[in-house]
This record gives sequence, structure tokens and C-alpha cells, in this order.
Amino acid sequence: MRTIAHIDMDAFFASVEQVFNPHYKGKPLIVCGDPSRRGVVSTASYEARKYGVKPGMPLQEARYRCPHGIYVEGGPGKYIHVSLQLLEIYKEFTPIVEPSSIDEAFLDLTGTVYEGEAARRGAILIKKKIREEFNLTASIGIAPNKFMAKMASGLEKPDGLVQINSEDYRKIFWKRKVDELWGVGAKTAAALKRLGIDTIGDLARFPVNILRAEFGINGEKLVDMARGEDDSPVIPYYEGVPVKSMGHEHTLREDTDSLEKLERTLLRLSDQVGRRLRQDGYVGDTVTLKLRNAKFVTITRQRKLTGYTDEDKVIFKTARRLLEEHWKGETVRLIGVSVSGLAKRGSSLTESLFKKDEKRRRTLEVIDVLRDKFGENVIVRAGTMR
Amino acid sequence: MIETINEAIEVVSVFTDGKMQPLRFKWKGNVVKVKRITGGWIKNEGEAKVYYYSILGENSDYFEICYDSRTLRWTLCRVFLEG
Repeated sequence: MRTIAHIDMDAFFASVEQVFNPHYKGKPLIVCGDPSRRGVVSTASYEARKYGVKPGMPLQEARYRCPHGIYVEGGPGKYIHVSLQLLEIYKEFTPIVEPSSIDEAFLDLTGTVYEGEAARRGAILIKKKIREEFNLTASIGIAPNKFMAKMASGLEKPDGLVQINSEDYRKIFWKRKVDELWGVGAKTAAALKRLGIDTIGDLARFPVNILRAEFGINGEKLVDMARGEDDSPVIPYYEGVPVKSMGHEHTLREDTDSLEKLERTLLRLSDQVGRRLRQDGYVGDTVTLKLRNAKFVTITRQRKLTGYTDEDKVIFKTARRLLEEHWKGETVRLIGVSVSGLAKRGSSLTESLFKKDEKRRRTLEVIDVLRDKFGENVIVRAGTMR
Repeated sequence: MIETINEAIEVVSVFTDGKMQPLRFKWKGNVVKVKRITGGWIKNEGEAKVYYYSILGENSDYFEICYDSRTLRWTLCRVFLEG
């Protein structure tokens, strides 16, 4: 049996801000984008959560719920720096560490001195080190697989430590609502509800064939999750977790129904997506446009390309076409573009695609070299400026 | 309330154990002595690195200052003044 730990830093961005600036300690702190503009809450300190402020909540609502809160612009550099240092701590306990996000990681403790019953002792040591070195707290879940460990880490937040086995999982979670399952959002929960599935236990006992008919391949995954079954490996940080898509989105300063403004933003986002693809050596064959209107209704529309690309121009043209086809002229709050269907550039299926427009390719390479040397803003597309 | 400043400053710093640590700096004619460095991080600007420091001054004011390895200049980025 495996021993997997899931470490989830508590209110990470807000906690880091409170450590860096002690004036924020003990106060309701809300980390967001530019607080003078619209946007959503990235993270709220536990003092702010008492007022109902949650990650993802529009800032306007957060200010209504917590008018005396301190609203600060997040500094990704700080969080990445701390996150990398946390990784160094985890590596002292096992070489098999998978950072699943900037503030979460899976550790495979199987075969180490912290295997099985000893895992709790290891987790206490990890928490102690994090507290001593950063004055931060983490919640840790320990279980025989990644899924159960992730579920366990959320049980006693903040500063929690919970070790469970399959039997504990059934006892704790089967009576809970199905939307408490990791990865089950409101839409899936509503679809399950229509099938008469209310709790995680209902889902675990539900006939798989009906779920397969309703959700496709995800039907079986849902049942596995409800049963706490997961054989996915912890993928060590040095092997890299396969990337499924790359994208950028932007909440506009004001809602707009101006096609020109939307196109300008789309051009900048496409430029950023292309740059990231090239930096990481990926190409993709599907472009997705995301639009959120003033009533917070979100649509995503995608188009499969005839081949692979990592070029800003192709991404932008495809996204703009999707915008022309699917935007009905209503005011837009947020716009985003992403590329999926990724493959590593230079793999056999992508090789022939880059021979036809060598001149454009060379221009992009020069732009990338300039940005590598002098920073992202050294050269920008004229179409994004005003 | 944190305020964005972005003004050039003069800094006295010490290099120890392979790290650079600011000791005091001059801003608007006043010398601010560093009581404690509460955090630090590095931002890549192309090939150049910008080193950021979160600092508590002796009178408990909070400062974020940075050193740009390309221009060899220090900047006071943001302040949070007590009171």
C-alpha cells in the first residue's frame, strides 16, 4: 500500500503577505489584482473569510461583505519564491514530490522512513519546518492515494493534519454532498442531482453504465473518486507534469461592447499565449475563446486547427474568428484565449509544419530573443497599444 | 495603507554568506535603518534580475525596496507607514 501526503498551504497568498508585512497580521486581508480596478479575490486571509469573502468572489461583493478589509495587489514573485523554497523542504522527506499548484504538493512517502504509520510523524516535522522557516501554516492529508490525500487535507483547515484509510474515507465522505468531491463543480453536481445522486455515497453505489452514458469517460472517473480509488502516480517535479493547455484571460477595466477593445485585448492575450508556448517548447492544435458577460454568464467556444501552431498570429486569427461568430454584441466583462491539444515542438507530428513560413518564424525567434534578454515589454505589438 | 512610490534611493548594504542585505537607506532626506528583513524575492527581467526586499524600519514602517542588477540602482517601490 502506498503512503501519499498532500500538502496544502493555508490561505497561501494572504499568509505570505502577512508574513512579509507584519502590519497585516491578524487583519482581514484580501489579495487581488489592482484593487482600484475590478476583478476577483485571489485569496482571503482567515480573518476575511469570517465575513464570507472567498477566492473567486468579485471584488465588489467582497467589499460589500468586508468593507473594512485590506485589499492588496498580489505579488506573484513573492509567492513563487516561497513556493520554490517550500519544495526544498519537501525534498528532505522524499525525492518524489509533485507540485500540483503554487501552494499545493503531493509527496510519495512510500519506501521512506515516513511510510505507513510513520507518515504522521513526518507530516508533523514538515509542518514544524514550514512554521519555523516561513511562519506559515499548512494542512496535510495522508492516505493510500493522491485523491484521498487531497480530500483529507481539506478536512481540518487551517493547520490540519489528517491521516485516513479507505474505510475512514467511506465513513467521513460518503454522507457528504457530492459537490464536496475534488473536481466536481456546480454543473456536474447539478447533472448528478438530476440522476438522483445527492451524496458521495449515492455516487459510489450508482451503476457505472448509466454514468458512462451521461458523462462519457468521466462517468467512470466520478465513481472511482466517490469510492476513493485512484492509482495515479505522484509525478516528481523533475519529470514535469504534462501540460494540457496554456491560456491567458483578462477582466476588462470596464464592461465593454466595443469590438475594437475586445480585439485589442485578444491580440495581447494571443501574443502572451504564443510566447508561453514557444518558451516551453509546445505547439497546440485547438484554440479556445472564453467570454464572460456583465451578468457573469460564461461561454467557451473552440476550434480545431488543421495543424499545430505556437504562433501569435494564428492564435489571434482563430480567436477573432470565434469572437465574430459567437459574440452577440452584449457587454463583455472578461475575455480569454487558450491553446490545447498540446504536443512538444519538434516531435514527429509537428515537424513539417514550420517549414512553410520561415520568414515569420525567424521574426518570432528574434522577438523572443529580445524578450529573453531585455524583458517582456521591450517589444509589443502596435495593435495592442493605444 | 500601502502606497506605491517608485523613487530612486541610496542604500548601504552588506554582502554576507553570498547574500546581499540592505542595512539602511536614505529617502526624502531621512535615513531609514533596517530593523528586520521580513522577506525577499527575485524577479527576472529578461537576463537581468531584480532583487526585492520587504523591510521593517526601526519605527516599524514597512518598505519594499529593490535592486536592479542591470542598472545597479536601488528603488523604493512601496511603503506602509505606521499611524
